Amino acid sequence: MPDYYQLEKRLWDAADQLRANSKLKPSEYSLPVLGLIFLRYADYKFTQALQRYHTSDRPVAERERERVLSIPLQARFESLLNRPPEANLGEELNSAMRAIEAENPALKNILPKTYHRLSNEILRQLLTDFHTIALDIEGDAFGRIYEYFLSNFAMSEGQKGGEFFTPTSLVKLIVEIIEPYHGRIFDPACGSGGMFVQSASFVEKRQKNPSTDIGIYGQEKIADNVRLCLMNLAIHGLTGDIRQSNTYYEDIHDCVGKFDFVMANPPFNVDKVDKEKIKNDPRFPLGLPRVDNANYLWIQLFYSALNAKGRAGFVMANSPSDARGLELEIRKKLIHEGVLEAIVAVGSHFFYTVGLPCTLWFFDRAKVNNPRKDKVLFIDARQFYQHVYRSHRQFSDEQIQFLGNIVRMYRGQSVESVATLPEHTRYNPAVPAYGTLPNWEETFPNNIYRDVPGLCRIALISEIAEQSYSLNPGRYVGIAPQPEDDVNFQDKLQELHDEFEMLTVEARELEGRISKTIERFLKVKGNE
Amino acid sequence: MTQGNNWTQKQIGEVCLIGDGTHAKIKRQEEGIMYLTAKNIKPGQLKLSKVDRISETDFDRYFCKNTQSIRKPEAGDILFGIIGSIGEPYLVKSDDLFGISSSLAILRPNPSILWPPYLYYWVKGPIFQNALQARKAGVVQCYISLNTLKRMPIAYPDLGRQQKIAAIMRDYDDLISNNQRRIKILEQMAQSIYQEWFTKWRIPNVEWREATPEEQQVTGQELFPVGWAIAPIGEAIETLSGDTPAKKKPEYWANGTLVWYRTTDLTTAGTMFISGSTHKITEVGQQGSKIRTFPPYSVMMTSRATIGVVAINTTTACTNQGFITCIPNERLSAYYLYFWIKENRDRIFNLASGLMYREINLGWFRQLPIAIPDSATHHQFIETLDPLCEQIQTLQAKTTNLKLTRELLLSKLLSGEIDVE
Repeated sequence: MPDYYQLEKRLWDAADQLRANSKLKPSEYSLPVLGLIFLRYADYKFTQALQRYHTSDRPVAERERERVLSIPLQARFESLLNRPPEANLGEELNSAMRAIEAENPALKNILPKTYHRLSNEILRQLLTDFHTIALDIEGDAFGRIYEYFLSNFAMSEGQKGGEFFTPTSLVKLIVEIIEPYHGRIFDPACGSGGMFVQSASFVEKRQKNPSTDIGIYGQEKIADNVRLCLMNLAIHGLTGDIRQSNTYYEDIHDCVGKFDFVMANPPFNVDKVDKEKIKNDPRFPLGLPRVDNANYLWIQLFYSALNAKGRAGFVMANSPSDARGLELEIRKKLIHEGVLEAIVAVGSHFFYTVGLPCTLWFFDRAKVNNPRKDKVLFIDARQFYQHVYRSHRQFSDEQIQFLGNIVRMYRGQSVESVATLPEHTRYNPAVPAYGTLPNWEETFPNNIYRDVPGLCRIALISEIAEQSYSLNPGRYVGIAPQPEDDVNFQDKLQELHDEFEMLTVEARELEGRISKTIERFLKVKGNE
Repeated sequence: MTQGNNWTQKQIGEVCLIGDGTHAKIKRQEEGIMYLTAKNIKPGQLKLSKVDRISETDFDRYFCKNTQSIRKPEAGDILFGIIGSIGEPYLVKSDDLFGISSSLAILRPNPSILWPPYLYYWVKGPIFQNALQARKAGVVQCYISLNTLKRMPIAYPDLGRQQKIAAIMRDYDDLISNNQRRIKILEQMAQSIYQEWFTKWRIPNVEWREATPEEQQVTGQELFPVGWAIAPIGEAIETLSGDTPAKKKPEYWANGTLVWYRTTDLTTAGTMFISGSTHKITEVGQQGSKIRTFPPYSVMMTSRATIGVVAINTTTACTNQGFITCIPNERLSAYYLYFWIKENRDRIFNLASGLMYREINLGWFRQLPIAIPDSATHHQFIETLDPLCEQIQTLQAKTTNLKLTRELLLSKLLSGEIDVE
């Protein structure tokens, strides 16, 4: 196994030199650099495909499933690398990108063509470094590296850059729970398209073809993110209808009642949405909140886009779970509709740029016709995480599987084992996992759901009403029994006792000195 | 004021170099060297729970030793808050390393005249502090200018006497912090015993039976002690909230005698037992509000904004509306309730809601299930904890006494009224 972690790091360091050695800001060079990785990966897949066509006699249907971009000769990575020293690499790369766009209509006007702004020297270095994304890499390692770069750019650009990236482990958990096997998938705040890529990988895991089984529909406010999203889709062999527009005011995909799946990580607590412009919009059927906060607009957008069998999973700030006033009224209606399937509390430090904790919400419209209509599953996943960097956390694959299986049991589906996770979704094994998973068999004997204090609980809508319609999982799940203290009781008591005795000896000494002082003063006074 | 023989009276500026921290805007960062403001000085120590940090480069730049004015704190300096939090001194120790902002002044005593610890106690003492009160300026934010500081009074005997005075005061300070540490240790011992018995369920001499699902939910285990019961806490004991008599009516407050707790009383004391409040209300005040008093050894828990701070009152008392008070009975003692609340803080916290501030609704609290020990176990627990808790109360009383004596002595020693020779 190649050491991906090392490789990612090395490539990142190479790209990160741009920070020091070019006059550009990360926001300006991130797109070109991602374009080069895109090129390297597309070229690699293309080479592999060419070899297969020459050497094997595979059925046509299988070839069609390969989802490979066509790379013209002038844009082949090798040929770019072998350009003579006097060539203007910036212009060459720009025209290589144009050539790829010409052969692959889905990428029209998408690829970066600003390479002339980077010096020949830097470009040659980048090409050489990215060329070392070597042949021994298997599976979707390039996709991994692409994601790694996306997330690192998100981090290095701070709050603003974070707009285009949702932490992969959160996306994976959402996908695990809503299971978007086939149908139309919608993300009205799609950023770089992480939700789509993960659902495609979920489909593949089940031996299905994401390019024919799912339809991808996205809406995104920032034009650069739309281009990133389309590159991200292309690199994973996907196509989708991704369009730039402001989701609050424009319903580009005519979305009401139309989608099988909605997945999103909308921006939290956005203010200043002009409510005049949306007051009669059918996408907000439960009413407009009075407070200047768009959370309950997003929640309704996701809700109203689902068809009668649709499922949604999305990331939310914690505050909407307990919000009062008109937001409470909207929440009440939503809960009584019977479509709210599950609420998962996630701990802090999952996002790249902010430390705040969040909540995952899940809708299931088909639920109104089944016995779970009056129930909501609450999961407190705050104790589960592993460290990536000092202050950055994620779920491990095992933790995602564990949480996904709780929902599957609640729905009466069979549980899945970690072994079915795709190979490429790998995390650095050097990082310690926290919140050690409880033993599955002991926690859920015979794979049957039960309420587990501190972890999960099924609450009736009537109980939720008693809690003022709070959707704060802590209210329902309770707390786990305290884990056994590593320190032996006797040892701990002994240690405390030793210190106490030492302090007492010291105290006696001080008391003695103080008594003497006071006695002396009293005597002096007495003599006067 | 009369000073004893051979005492010198001067202005601080005559016997100390005086400076203040940097006025520059220094970039704060996550890690680096501490950068203190007046808020970081608490009686006798630094309060470092919220402290800014600056880079080493900035530290070297703004706090180099060669600058004309004194700016870099050195061992033996007295730091002294001059903006916002005024008046609390800190004696810099030899292993201290930090930068300071302009909200802190540095008093650097002339070593041939002034013994630094003596100066520290002088600044804490009543003469200096009263003079300070009289000269505080600033409407929005109080401040003392360096020039005012220079003209503040100081009186001192010879160095030998200064050392003796400082040593006497030091003994008091040391014994007080020794006591406070011992109180903490005793509390930890009591808590460990509670945990061992009632969260790890290793109770001596107890028989077990299979637990019902509800009992499992509460205890987190499949066995339940024979003879125990489970009930909502509101049914097992009496619980009550508090109130605030109208602040505008002086007859409700002036010369009041009834102890009336607020959250800050508990957080300031920071102890298991508490015996006095900053504000007290009158009998009229009690009648003019919804206040109900509760007997000594009840368990008070803060339930608004700052949630889950617990203390046991040692005198009849009442609280404001930010509390839920549990009144112990035969089945649930103050000790058991006190530690039950501490150990179940998460569960209680989960009940909190509210946008402006988090608050626990009394009705919800009352529904929390609590395991009620059988009477033999309960008595065994009380008997085990009694000596520890009584020791805690004795030490608290001693500490209060020591603080009073220290104040008295300080004023007598610094005025020369008592001679140390």
